[in-house]
Amino acid sequence: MRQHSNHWPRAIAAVLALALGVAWTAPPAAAAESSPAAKPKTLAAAAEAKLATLDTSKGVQFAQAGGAAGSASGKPFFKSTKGLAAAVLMVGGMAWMVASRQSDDVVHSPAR
Amino acid sequence: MGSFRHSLFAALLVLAAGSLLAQTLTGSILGTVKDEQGGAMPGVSVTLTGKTGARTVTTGDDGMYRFPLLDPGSYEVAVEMSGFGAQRRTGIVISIGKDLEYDFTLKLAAVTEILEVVGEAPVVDTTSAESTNTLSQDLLYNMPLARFAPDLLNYAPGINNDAAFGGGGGNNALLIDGVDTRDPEGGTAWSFFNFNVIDEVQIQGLGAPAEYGAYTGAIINSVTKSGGNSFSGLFDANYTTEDFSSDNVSEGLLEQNPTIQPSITTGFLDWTTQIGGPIQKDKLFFFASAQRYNLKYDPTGPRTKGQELSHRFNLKLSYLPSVSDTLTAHVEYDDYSIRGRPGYDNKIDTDAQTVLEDAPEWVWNVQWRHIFGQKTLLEAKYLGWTGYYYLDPQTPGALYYDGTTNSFQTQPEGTPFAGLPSSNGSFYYADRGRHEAHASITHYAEAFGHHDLKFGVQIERSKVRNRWGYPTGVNYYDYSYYGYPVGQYYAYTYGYDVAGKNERESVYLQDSWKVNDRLTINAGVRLDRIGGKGDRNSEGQGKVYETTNFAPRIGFAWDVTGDQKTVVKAHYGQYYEAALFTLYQRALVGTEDYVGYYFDGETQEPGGPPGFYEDNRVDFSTPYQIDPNVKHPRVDEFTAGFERALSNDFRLAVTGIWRENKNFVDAVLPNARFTNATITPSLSDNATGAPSGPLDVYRWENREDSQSGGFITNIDGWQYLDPDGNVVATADAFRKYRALMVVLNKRFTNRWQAQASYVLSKSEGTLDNRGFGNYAGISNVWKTPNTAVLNRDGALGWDARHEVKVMATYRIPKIELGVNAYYRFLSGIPYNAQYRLVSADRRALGYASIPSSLRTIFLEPRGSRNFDNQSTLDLRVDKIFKFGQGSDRLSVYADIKNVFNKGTVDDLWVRTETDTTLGNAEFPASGECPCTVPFEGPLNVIPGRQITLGARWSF
Repeated sequence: MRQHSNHWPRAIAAVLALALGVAWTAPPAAAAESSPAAKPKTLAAAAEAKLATLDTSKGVQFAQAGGAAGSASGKPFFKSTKGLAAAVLMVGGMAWMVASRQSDDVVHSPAR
Repeated sequence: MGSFRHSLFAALLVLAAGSLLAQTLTGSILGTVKDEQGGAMPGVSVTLTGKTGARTVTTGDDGMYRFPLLDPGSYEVAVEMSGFGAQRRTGIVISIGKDLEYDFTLKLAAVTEILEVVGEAPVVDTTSAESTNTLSQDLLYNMPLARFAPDLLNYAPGINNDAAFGGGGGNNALLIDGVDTRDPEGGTAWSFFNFNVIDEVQIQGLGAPAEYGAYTGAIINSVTKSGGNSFSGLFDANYTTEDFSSDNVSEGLLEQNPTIQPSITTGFLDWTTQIGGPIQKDKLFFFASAQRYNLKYDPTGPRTKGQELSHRFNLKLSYLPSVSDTLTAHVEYDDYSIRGRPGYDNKIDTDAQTVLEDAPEWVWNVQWRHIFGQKTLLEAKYLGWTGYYYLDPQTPGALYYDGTTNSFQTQPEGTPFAGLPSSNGSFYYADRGRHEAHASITHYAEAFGHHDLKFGVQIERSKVRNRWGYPTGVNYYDYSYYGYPVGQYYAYTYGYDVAGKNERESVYLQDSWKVNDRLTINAGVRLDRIGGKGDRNSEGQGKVYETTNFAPRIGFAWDVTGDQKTVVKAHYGQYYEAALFTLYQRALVGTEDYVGYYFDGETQEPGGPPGFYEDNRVDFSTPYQIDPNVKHPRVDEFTAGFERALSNDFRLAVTGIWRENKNFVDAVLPNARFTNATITPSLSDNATGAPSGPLDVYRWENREDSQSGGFITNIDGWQYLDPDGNVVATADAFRKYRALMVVLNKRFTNRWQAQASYVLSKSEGTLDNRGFGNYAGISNVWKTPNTAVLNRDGALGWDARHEVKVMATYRIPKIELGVNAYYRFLSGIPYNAQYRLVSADRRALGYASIPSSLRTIFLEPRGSRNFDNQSTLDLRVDKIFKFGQGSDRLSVYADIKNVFNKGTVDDLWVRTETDTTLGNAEFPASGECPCTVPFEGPLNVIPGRQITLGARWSF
């Protein structure tokens, strides 16, 4: 009889943590943003720069596209206050969910 | 003809080889750049900027540009050319399947001059014959909606309790990023995605083009969120407790049925944490989400506790190796489980009779999009899911039904059950899996107008395994309840282990032909091969179900005024149902006979319980035969209507809908013979108001010789014969739906938005639209004319003649307080008096006791009576605090479901026979409850007022 396995959520958590780690340490997005703000040479660049600061939410939508990759101060996102708070909530929330899965008494069929 | 279709199908498959997409999840932006004299301007640089970066194209000789395959979201388009003033259009919002057209007129000007325009999309789509409803992020995030993605379709006009436009609950395509998350057994929802990972939902199904198939109800087309160049996040928590629940069951209802205590949420905590952003700017993005969902409740009825618990994890990666390629991979894991699920009947089960549900799943989706220039696109994806749900009895191996005390008891000493491995609780193990490969090529062509051609192929392989039985294989009764002497014990054995594989290959070709600036013709054809075969223990049976289905689609959209403000549209199409295991399940081996035993303390039958001798046997093990010419179920649909932009923000849509289901499939008994007979139903004293007096019915003359096996076929027109071969009754299997749907939309401007709809509909037929929707070869209904013909024609279970739905939001200025309301009114849904043949009737009519589903007949035409009207109002009040760069929002909110705490009854006792305790004579409820409910007495009341508190931080 196959025993129910609990290691898959851990694997997901590990992958997620890795992705977060990469995102945290990967500078290109934030580095690009943190370079001196030269005046855009083309309209396309201007458009892109505009979008980075654009509040793309319409109405009271909580859109994914809003905000800049870095913080207003030019810091990499995860080194900004907001980024730190988000990382703590994300990692903490994930950890709690994975941990709670052990204590939540999830049903496991004896047939598995 | 069959060989020609197979040849054609094979040829199309060969043509499709090498390309593998299907259902549209994206939109596009296109247009023309002209000079002040109206001349087309080639060579103009047009740049699209969205959350994953910028993309630049150059206009062609005709001045046209196009950005296809755009994910839903906000974009802006900028055009520039040396010597001309540049222009930029911002705030363009792309929805699923929408093509937005923006033309630019450039003027000679200084290089530095930029004209900026806010790009409001037209509220009316003048190029599609399809009628759709979109639940945008505005609505998803602000309305007090259901927490699971598959439930969202019930907020759309014309859809209630999953019954869409006359269809049944198992007839809807539930697509999440293109993954059909339906149960391949009967088509009901299987995967319950986290509501918070959904970016946009589009409810389709009326006038859908040929790329959509395998449904006869509606399509819920959901797209999940993804990461972009900017980091985004969402942290959402919902909480409620028993103190926030309200009792809405009146004393009058309790007098009729003391078991319908209010359903109370005793605890709820739903916590979502998610974040998305760049791993490498413009190239690689991630989106991750985790959810813990914990709902505890005290349901109505004898049960006192239940719990739904789930941990869900989503990870999505998007990779753009070049401006022409997009690769996306998404995986979800969910360990959904339930405690306290009803094991036999939610109205009579005690806690001990409940079952435990273990239902984890994996869902995946990998897709690749490639753009060949501006005119040809390729989309390919591999998607699927695997999971199971296992139901085990809460009290395994320890219960039997004790007729003396009307209760389920542990094995008593001194009875024949003592020491026996017995159980009344049954198990049910369902294993599922789905693999699909989709591919399509889209090409934009010019010939007598503009063509948007799309050719695609879909291949599906799904697997189903169902196991049911008692943990020890035996179920015991103490029959003293029925007046037998104590010691008159009964037992029976029954169970099944059946497995099969669904197969579907679909090919489609469609064109959106824009004949001129005003007229667009939507045409297409779709070819589906749908089959089913045995798996595991029935693998040797090979293919048992095989159909090839050709589905044409034709429609038009006419921009009446030529200003994209008024469109008249009409569409005709045929839509074939998905590959469903229920159609051929009974043709597979793996079902055991039902064998009944009586106790004598001595006998040991082979395979039977010790001390019991075999008394009766019903043949369930002989596989049914399937009609080799069986036709797959489908719905024929005609829609016509108009849409009008009342202003830049208001849209009025009026649609007439005509639908007719065809090719219902079910099982009949070819050798059964019937004669006309009359019975006088033995009505309960509580059946006041039920039809009484003699009833013309049919006597089964040769049950023992004809009940084995069965024949699965298209049941419409099936003739029931008497012993001389004369026709005594003919099946008339049909379902029709007519509706007039009026929808008024107001998008979010000036602090408010709304969607109001009214649907006038009539849904009638001989097959109900509750449950699976009756595309089932597993039903017993069509085996006798008593259950197939007698009073079967009438209004269907989800025929709410009048439906009103309103979703509205208003944000109060200054204090930024939002009031969001969802209101639904349904006129009373139909029901009718039913009668389960009592022992004397069964003897008179030649019936056996098994299967019980053969024994319930209608005393009056279907849908002769109506429930009370339903009217509910749900509210959300939220307060938003904005901070940071403007995109940061902290929101606290309160959801109030059933604001007026209405105690509307949504289920009634409709049986009328004598001795009708709640449930039935064989299974009364617990010993504490007499549970005798009168005819038309209440069985269930909608949940009372419930307040849920929430908090959310998003950026």
